[in-house]
Amino acid sequence: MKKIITYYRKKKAYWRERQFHDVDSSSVGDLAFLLLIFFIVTGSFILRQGIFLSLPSENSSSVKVEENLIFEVAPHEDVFEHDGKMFTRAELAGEIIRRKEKTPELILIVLMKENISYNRFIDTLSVAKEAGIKKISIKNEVSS
Amino acid sequence: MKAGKFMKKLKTASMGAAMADMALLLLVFFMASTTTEPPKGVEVELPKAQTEGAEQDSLYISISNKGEIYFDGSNISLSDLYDRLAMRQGEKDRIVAVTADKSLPYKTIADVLDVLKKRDFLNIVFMAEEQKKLIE
Repeated sequence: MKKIITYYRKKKAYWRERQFHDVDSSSVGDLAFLLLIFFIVTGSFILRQGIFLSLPSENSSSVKVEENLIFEVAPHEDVFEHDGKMFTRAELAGEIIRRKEKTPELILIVLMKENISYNRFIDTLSVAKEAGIKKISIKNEVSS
Repeated sequence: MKAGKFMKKLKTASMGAAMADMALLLLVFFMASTTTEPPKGVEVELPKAQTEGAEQDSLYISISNKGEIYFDGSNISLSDLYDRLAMRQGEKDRIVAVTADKSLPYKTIADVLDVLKKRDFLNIVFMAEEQKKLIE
């Protein structure tokens, strides 16, 4: 009986004196917050925007395409030339959409002159994209 | 039991562990969702176009309005670009982001595209400012 009482007294004393031993995690928190601030400062949420284009491989062979599938356009500084006629941006887009309704597999061939600005090239690609053209071919032309 | 005795028995616990957990979670979120700025090399005025989100993991080529080519932030010639891309053949499947000034003559772009084609870097994205869709 005495043994039992001693045991329980010891057990009680143990629980009374028992301390909670926590791992000090404040340094981990500090470190994590420092890293967090670093990433907030150096990171960027801005998603860069662009127009995607897949170039043909250097050793890819040429393909024959039916003439009615081709839509040629030559951008100039202010207008777009197609079939010898000049088009504004909206007119060209309308023309492409009209042609695309008849031939959904329409291929746009962009005839680029060397002295035309990059802005016009991107604008042409943008018009093609807006009109829903999937296949674009770029043909470099030497300026006259 | 009196309120005083009860209060004495309460132990204060720091919320350090929870704070650290939260900070680490936020850290992982920021690391996953943000991206570091790519080496620009040169400031350019981008053309406007109807764009789509470009992948962040790209090789970056910047071309100034004077035709200076910057690859990974350093100014190089066209032939240097050809050589540099030779050393990056393992990254052929990565997208090459071309950031060029809108006033640049197309010839420079054509030359760069030619080099990229020769080195088999075929996935290109022309960086542009987002423009509202003009055609409805």
